[in-house]
Amino acid sequence: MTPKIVAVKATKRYPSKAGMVTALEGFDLEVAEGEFVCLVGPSGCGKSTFLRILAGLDDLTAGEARIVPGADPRRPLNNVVFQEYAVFPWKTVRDNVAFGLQMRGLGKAERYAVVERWLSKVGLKRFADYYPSQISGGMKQRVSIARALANDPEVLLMDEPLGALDAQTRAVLQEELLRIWEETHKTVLYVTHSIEEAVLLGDRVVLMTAHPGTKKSEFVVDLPRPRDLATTATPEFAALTGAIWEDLRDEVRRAMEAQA
Amino acid sequence: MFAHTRKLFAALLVAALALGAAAAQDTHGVAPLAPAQKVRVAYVPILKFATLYVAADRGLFAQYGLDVDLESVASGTEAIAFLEQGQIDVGGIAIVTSLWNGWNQGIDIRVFAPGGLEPFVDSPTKVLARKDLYDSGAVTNAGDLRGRTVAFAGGPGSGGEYLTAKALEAYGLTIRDVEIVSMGNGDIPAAFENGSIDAALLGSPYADQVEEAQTAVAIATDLVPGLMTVAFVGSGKFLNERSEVAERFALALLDAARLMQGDDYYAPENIAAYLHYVNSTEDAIVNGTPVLYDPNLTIPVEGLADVERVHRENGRTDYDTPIDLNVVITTAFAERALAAAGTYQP
Amino acid sequence: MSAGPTAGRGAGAWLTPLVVLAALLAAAGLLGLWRSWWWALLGAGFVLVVLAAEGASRRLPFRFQTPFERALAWLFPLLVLAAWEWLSTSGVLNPRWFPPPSRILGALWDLTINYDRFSGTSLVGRPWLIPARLAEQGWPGVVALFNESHVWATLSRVIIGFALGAVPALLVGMVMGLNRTVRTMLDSTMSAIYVLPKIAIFPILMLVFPDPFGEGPKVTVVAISAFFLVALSTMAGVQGIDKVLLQAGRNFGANRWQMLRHVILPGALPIVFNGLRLALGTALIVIVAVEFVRAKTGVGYLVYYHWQVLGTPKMYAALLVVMVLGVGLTALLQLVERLAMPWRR
Repeated sequence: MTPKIVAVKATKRYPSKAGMVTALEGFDLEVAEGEFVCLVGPSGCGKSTFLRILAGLDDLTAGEARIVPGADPRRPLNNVVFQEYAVFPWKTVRDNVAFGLQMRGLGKAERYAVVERWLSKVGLKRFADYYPSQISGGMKQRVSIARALANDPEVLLMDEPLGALDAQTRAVLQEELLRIWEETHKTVLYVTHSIEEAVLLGDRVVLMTAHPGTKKSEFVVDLPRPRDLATTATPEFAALTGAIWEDLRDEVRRAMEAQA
Repeated sequence: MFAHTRKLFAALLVAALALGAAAAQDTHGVAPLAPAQKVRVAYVPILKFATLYVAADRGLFAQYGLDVDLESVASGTEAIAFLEQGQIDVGGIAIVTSLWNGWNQGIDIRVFAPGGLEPFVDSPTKVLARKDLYDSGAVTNAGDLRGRTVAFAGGPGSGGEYLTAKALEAYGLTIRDVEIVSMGNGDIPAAFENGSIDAALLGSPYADQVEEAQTAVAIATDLVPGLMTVAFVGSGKFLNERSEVAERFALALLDAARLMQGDDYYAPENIAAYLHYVNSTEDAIVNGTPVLYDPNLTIPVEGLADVERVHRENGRTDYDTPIDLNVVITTAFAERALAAAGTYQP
Repeated sequence: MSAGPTAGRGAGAWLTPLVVLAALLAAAGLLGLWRSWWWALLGAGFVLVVLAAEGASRRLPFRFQTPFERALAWLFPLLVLAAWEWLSTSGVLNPRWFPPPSRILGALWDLTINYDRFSGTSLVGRPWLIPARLAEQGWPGVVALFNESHVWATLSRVIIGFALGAVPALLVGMVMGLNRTVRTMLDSTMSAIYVLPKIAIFPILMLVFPDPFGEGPKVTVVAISAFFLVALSTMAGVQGIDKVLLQAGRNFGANRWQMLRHVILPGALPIVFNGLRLALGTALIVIVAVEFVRAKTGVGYLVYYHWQVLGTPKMYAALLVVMVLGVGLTALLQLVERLAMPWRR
């Protein structure tokens, strides 16, 4: 398998009032094409920073972090699904989903054809002409996900995308993500602080420590696919989440103390 | 800083002189009021109310038992409003359109003493034309102003408009035949300089200023010789219910006028009083032609009638038939003052 | 009080205050208390009217609530006008300075239908003459009608000046919002100039123009007043855009122009329109104040003229026109706002 994301000794420091802060220290990661990798760690462990660096929204201080381009140079390297949805309030659902395609200069008919397909995949067909202020948070995040997928990037970067949603909506969207991933097998880097979510969605879970943020351990999720919410009821699921929690608990305590 | 010190000095001088002056005056056998009576006066700060300033600063009001409060107002209309609302007792104002309209509406305000009269010759108030227009012969008299831009202060229906209209009237023109522009006296010299106006009505010291700067030349002077365009008006309540106060007020004005005749006009204590209330300079007052202050306090009714006619014909009033001047003027107070003081002997 | 709860919520809740009010007014009238106690009676009257309205509102079925509230919004000003009318005609207020509303309306009608042959002006330019003028004199005749209109004089000054000020302000504000260096250089200066009363610099503006009494200085003073408000609010609007939206725009490959067109401009619009609304109000205030003494046409001139010649009903009528212009211009801007921002319904 060819690696799609490569990070070698990725380090990020930035100045603050309390002096230099090290957000990321010597972080190594390799994600294969078509792999779904979840980054889990306490707040402040630099997982979102790493994702933003990959997305090109931030720079590294040292080391390397990049997405390996594919054969088609016109295909975008990555697109981000933000926790805050980041859908444009002034565009309809349809035009939000079409945004990336429009920026790439696709004609109206062409991009709307792609958009229709994705709107029906995420169940937003009826709401195509709505503005974001007229739909719920869960629907806004569907728009954000569809916007990223419609743009067909090499890698999908998801920054705690379900973090702002209530438990029921989150469960529904987790199932939708699973279903969509089965269809596309996109390379995904998924940041979350929910161990359950990471185990449910990912092929691999990477645990990170805080202060400085670096890799602590890695767990391969060998639960069979296709998965759904019933997967969470299996003893294998419970065993794996239990093991990860054992590993993470002390780290979370340490992070809390450091913040206090 | 400088102006402040100067004012303070003037005030001190005035106070010192007032004590001396008060002692020297006699009250023509009219007993001062005791306790002193308060009179609230609003005035437009121009030299034509100089009798008011002299009476106040040289202690003439005080010797009749009058405690006079002077407040300056921006326009006659303001004073009229305060008079009718009973907020003030006396107004020193130009006989402007609002007063005629007010009288037509039955407002209870009456003229009871004259303000300063226009001089018979060498009036400081004149119409000037821009130098280049005058030199080229395009505008040499008020009759040449047809279609030209003419500026004056005070706006529609003001005393300035009346005087401008009088200058035009001599040549059969009205203010409708020229482009009138309303601007402050202080802005007019600059407007002459940059050529934005063709002519303007100006009084002292601005007229002298533009003549010295040679940006404009007088084309009409002595517009209304000997006429009264401003007056002291009293509220009906003041004149009817406090006639003994109004009578003494008129007497003090008459005394003041007699202190301002001939060269006495330039007496230092008088000049201090003028400068206390009017924005001018000693030079401007000394070099300018004095306004006339009738030592017998006669109210020139013909002048008022002419003011009324011009404003009415200019369409500034909201009525068409002339107003009966007997309703708006009361000569009783001025006559009683004259009777007490006797006819003026120079 | 002594009645049962349902009965207490019945007619008594709204009727009692009204009865008390009527009794109070009648007693005051009989005892001749109006002249000296009118302010206390008005205050008490207002409280009782509020109590009656609240009582009535509680008692109304739900579906009548909205119509009732709408009626209150309209009826209360009418009540105020009625009170004013009565105070003025009964002589509690001096009708010369506070003419009754009916006389103000009469004066407004007078101003509207009459042509002032002395100044060659009319309030709205007698639009009913347009067909006849067009037939007799063609378009120049119609233009002449526009030129005689005080309302049109004020409106054209506001609209042209506003456009001349707001359009460059949008560009400058946008640059200030986007570029830190420009912002640092201009922000404090502009905030300082913004608070200056623009009327104070009017004499200077007059010196700058070849025709100081023409439309140039007037339109310019409006433009300057609008400029700083719009520029500063555009800057705030651009700066206030959610950072995550800018990141999303960049992440989805928008170039500079696309960022401006698809993210920054629409993102700043709500605050830009706030600024435009304020600027429009300020523009009207400034031009009316300038027209007071510096113009021979315009609604502000009418206000001041009729005060100067003691025609107070016409002065109030002209003030009413200023209010109508303000409301009308604001409504027009709101329409533009709704069209420009369909997502903010």
